[in-house]
Amino acid sequence: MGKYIIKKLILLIITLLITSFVIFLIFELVPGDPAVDKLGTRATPEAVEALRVKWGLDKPFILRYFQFVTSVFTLDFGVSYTYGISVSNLLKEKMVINLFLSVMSLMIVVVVSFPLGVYVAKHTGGLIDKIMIPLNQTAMSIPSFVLGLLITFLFGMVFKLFRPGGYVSYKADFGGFLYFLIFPAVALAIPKIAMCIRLLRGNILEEADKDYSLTAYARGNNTTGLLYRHVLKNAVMPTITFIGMIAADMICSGIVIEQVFSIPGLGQMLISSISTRDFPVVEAEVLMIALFIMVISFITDVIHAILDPRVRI
Amino acid sequence: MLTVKDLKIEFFDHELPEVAVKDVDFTINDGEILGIVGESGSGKSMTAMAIAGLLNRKDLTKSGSIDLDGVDLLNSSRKEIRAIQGNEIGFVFQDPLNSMNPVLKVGPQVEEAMRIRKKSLGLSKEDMKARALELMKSVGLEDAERIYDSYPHQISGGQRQRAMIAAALVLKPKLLICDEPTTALDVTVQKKIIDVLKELNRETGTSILFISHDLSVIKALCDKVVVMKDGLVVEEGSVKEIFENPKNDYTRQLIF
Ligand SMILES: Nc1ncnc2c1ncn2[C@@H]1O[C@H](COP(=O)(O)OP(=O)(O)OP(=O)(O)O)[C@@H](O)[C@H]1O
Ligand SMILES: [Mg+2]
Repeated sequence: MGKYIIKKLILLIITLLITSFVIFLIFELVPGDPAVDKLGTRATPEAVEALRVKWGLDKPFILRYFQFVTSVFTLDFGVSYTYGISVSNLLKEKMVINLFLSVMSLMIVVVVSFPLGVYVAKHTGGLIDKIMIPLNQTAMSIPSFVLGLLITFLFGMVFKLFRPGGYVSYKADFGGFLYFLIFPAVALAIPKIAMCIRLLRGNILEEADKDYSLTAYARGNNTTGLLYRHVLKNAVMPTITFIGMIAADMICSGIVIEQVFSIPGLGQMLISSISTRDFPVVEAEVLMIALFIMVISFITDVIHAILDPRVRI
Repeated sequence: MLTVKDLKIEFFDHELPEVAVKDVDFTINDGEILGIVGESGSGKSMTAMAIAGLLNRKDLTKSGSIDLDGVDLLNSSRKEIRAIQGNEIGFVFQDPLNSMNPVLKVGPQVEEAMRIRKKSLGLSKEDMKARALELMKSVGLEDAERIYDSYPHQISGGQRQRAMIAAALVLKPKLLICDEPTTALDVTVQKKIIDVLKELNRETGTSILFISHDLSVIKALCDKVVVMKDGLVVEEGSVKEIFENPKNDYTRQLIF
């Protein structure tokens, strides 16, 4: 087990190196000179050169890449071309918002879809199962931002459970911040919940049909015993893998959801920094998103290994 | 002890109902080993599963009666049948890898029939482990302690099947059903497993229902034989009768 975790950690670091290199290379290859962009074409060559030195662009590629990679640990991503302040200060709050939004949404997915998936699998063909099938289909096909609008209308305007557009900063009121995030998190979670329920239900039924389940029945197990002692551990694994993959999508859908709920998250900053060619900001954002996805996938790998002895090698 | 009468099993998940087993009658007396032979699809497994109460499915109908010392295994409630499964009837399946849960250690799987009834039996964890180890050794698992703590993928096919036999025997069932238990194993392991079953029968008097399509195995192990074809019993008798003087054409084909 320890060996497995170390192996996965090394893999995570290698992935991080490759990803960061690709990110850095892409922005290196984008044509144009950020210093010229900033100063305009009529600037003197001396002024442009001075700015390049100030931004560190005169240093060789490899050296700058090395600085970029280590910035994951030092959290020093340099200075924003547009705002002239450090990238970390610019992004810190936005990263915190998106991290909480994604993690909260993932947690909602797990907490809701696991019990429901188990329930509908256990009562296949029952009333709830029959209701769930079309409901799931619907939930899966509505995009999160539409759900976001719906939730804003229903819970914000009709039931007045929160103030639409009234984002609360976590610095001002952490509880209020978390409370406000519940609504966009639910909007993000609903389609994923539907997918997880369907996946889990299918896997439970598939496992319950396998030979070892028949053996378990032959020993005198009842359905509940079979489900909890035998089937569940096998059946949750694909769903856990799936939740790891959802993490990536949570960030992307999150960028749209931010707009719907007027949350000052990464999304707006990402779009504006791309259009102003503020490369240090874009690079930092993309790298942090990639890191988040990698960490989630690392966690799902570890859970997998805890559940299944066959992968623990 | 066990009497099967007019057993009929019919699938209706296709357009036309499909009869899997029909007019099957036989008895197994205390301490007897009965073999069922027949080609693939002749209804051997269906018959065995009906006896073990494993045909609680929506895609088939069953009729007739299966009497185990006064309990009708075909028509009793699920609860009554559960009390018998693993307790009075042990079942060993064909494929020992797939019939073990890959994510559970071997030991807990061997103990399971006990664990399900641990309250009514008043067994402690240590009792169950001791019993499991004792049985695992008795079916020829020398390093039972190691295997107890192994996962199914960490032990050999022969060891798995021995562990499955131990699992079926933990509660000293009256009847052990083995559905082609050696088909997935090589010949030397096959022979050892047969010896284990023989010895078990001699020492504890457990009756065995042994399914195989290998006549030499049947001849070596069983007292009585039932020959099945297309869901019907075509011939039934003692091993001696059937092998020395087969009456049915199909049986003759099988033997020669
Ligand atoms: N789910 C099912 N739906 C329809 N028919 C089935 C189903 N399962 C089994 N059968 C039929 O039941 C019959 C008996 O099958 P059974 O498994 O008892 O054969 P068997 O004698 O054990 O064969 P084998 O030696 O291959 O194990 C077969 O003809 C098969 O077509
Ligand atoms: Mg069979």
